[in-house]
Parts: sequence; C-alpha cells; structure tokens
Amino acid sequence: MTEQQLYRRLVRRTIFRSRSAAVILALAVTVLVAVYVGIESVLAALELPALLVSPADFVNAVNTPSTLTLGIAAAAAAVGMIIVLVAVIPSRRGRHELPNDRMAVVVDDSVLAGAIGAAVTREAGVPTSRVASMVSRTRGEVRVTPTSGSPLDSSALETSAHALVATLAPKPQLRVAVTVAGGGVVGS
Amino acid sequence: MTRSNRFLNRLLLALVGLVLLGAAAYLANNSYPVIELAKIPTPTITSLWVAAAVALVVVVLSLLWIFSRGRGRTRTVIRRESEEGAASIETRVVSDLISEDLARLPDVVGVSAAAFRVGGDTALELRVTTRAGADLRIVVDSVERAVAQLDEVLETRIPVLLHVASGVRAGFARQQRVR
Repeated sequence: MTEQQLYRRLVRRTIFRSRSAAVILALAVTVLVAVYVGIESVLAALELPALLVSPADFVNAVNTPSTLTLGIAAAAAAVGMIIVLVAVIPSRRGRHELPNDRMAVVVDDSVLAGAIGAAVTREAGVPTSRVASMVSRTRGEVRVTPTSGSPLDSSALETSAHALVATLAPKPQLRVAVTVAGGGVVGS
Repeated sequence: MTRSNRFLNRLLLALVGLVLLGAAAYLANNSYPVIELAKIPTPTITSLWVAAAVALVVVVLSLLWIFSRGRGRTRTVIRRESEEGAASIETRVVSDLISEDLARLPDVVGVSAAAFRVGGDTALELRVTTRAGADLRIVVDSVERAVAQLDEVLETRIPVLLHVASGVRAGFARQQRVR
C-alpha cells in the first residue's frame, strides 16, 4: 500500500462511522435469542418442561393467524427496516479533510467553524460573542451582529472568510456565506 | 480508528435486518395469505437437536464477531530488528515528544497519540484538541513542524493521521483574546 492509499483509507475511516456499535448491539440481541431457542430446543428434545414456551406451542402459534403474531410481525418489520437502513446509509461524521503533504489531516466541523468565525471576528472588530458560525458538509455560515452605529460590510467579511477557506482548502469544498444582522447592539 | 472490516460490518447488519424482515413477511403472510407458503412442521426430536446445534453455532460466531471488533491498536510505533538485537519505540514516547512541541500553543488544549496497524503499516493517530476559535492554520502547521522533528529523531517517516477535534473540554475552555 502506498502512502497515498494509506492516507485515503485513514481519512475515510475517520470521517465515516464503522457501525461496530450497531453490529455489536444487533449480535448481542441475536445471541440472547439464540441461547433461548437453544435451551428450549434441548429441553423439548429431552422431554423436560419448557421455560416459557415449548417449540411445539411456538410453531403452532406461528402457523395460526392471530393479532399477536401480526403485532410481532409489525415490530420485527420495523426493527429489520431500521437495521437495514443503518447498514445502507453512509453515516458520515461532521468532519472535513485538509490537504497536507506530510500527514492525513481531518478536522471536526466545529473546529472549522471556529476558525472561520475567528477570522471574521478579527475582520469585523466585534467581540467574539457576537459572531456565530456553523459548518455543514458543503456550506459554512457566519452570522455577525454589528455594534450599533458602526455598520459592517458583509462582502469584506466574506472575503476574509473565503481567504481562510482558500488556504485551508477543506474537502468536501465549503461555500461560506456571511450575514450581518440588521439591527446592531450597543456594547463594546 | 480500528482495524474492523467496515464492509463486512455493513453486510452483516444488512443480513440481520433482512432476516428480520423475512420473518415479519412470513408471519404477516400467515395471517393475510398473499402467496402460498409451506407451514412450519411440528418439531420432531431430530429437528429440535438441529435447532439447538444451529443456535449454538450462531452464538459462537456472533461472540467471535463481537470480540474481534476494534482490534489493531498497538503500543509500539516502530520496531526494527538487526543482528545485534531489536529496538522498538513506544507510542507514549512519540506522544510526549509531540505534546512537548505543541504545549506552548495557546489554542491547543490536549494532544493524545495512538498507533494502529493498518494493512501492514503502523500509522500514528494524533488527536489534537483545540479551544473554540483556534487558528487552524497555525495548529496544523505547528503539528507538521513537530512531525518533521519527529521524523528527524526517529530517522524514518511514519504515516501520521492528524485529527483536530474540539473535545468536551474545549467547550468549557475560555476563548483567549488579545486586546
């Protein structure tokens, strides 16, 4: 494996969930059910009294339609659907990759948002508490509340945000928008 | 970051889900027959033993799968063997070297390192926790410099994964400002 391939793999593994937790949960339940089925089968084979339901009664209940079997069918269908969905959906974590020559770099979206927010704060010259930023997979959003009496130029703020994003070059690409709130706030 | 095969994880989950869906469809079909399906025969002694054996196999395989998750972590980053003997470097040493280098950065709250075996290579995972609003460029460049120094010390280039995270502590850490 070349370093490039290895890094791609490391990044992919950091950005997407492994589903190990889901598999462990599903298999743990499977184990419990299988243990129970095994015990009941052995008890019935040895002609001992059943713990809860003997296999013969169980098969009989499955074969005769009733509201109970229908309800169990509905529940099994719902759980099965959820499990299949968990297996199929990509389940991406909120993280971005940053290109780097030496390392594979992955950044939490909240860190990225903080960095963009800090850049905008510096440009705007307002207290940090008045800048809120957020990063999703392809979009970044910064909201600035100006100090009343000193209007802010949103395009200048956007330029500073874009400049930072351009130097970081996160993958997947980010489109950052800066909105300046209409009403200002009195304060430092 | 572990060695678990992710495709097989998904495949197994899909399988469990489909088995459940199949069972549900069979039960529903018994109540509202859409297609003709064979009824389950009343269990005989033989089929009971078969069922018990199948249950045992399912239990063993499931437990094996559960306990094989999350492997791949190692404590040694590099191991070199020569005729005179073997030399190995532990993850903790590397972690200390990097942490010391990054300690003077105000934006960095913590550094932790872990080594993983990934397809024949040992990769170093560096997890750097930062304060809210940290200058990402500075953090990444500093780690890059620290790793370059590490390369010099170790006289080799190990694969590094840097994960910049905003941990729980970062949320409480106050943002540093210069007025």
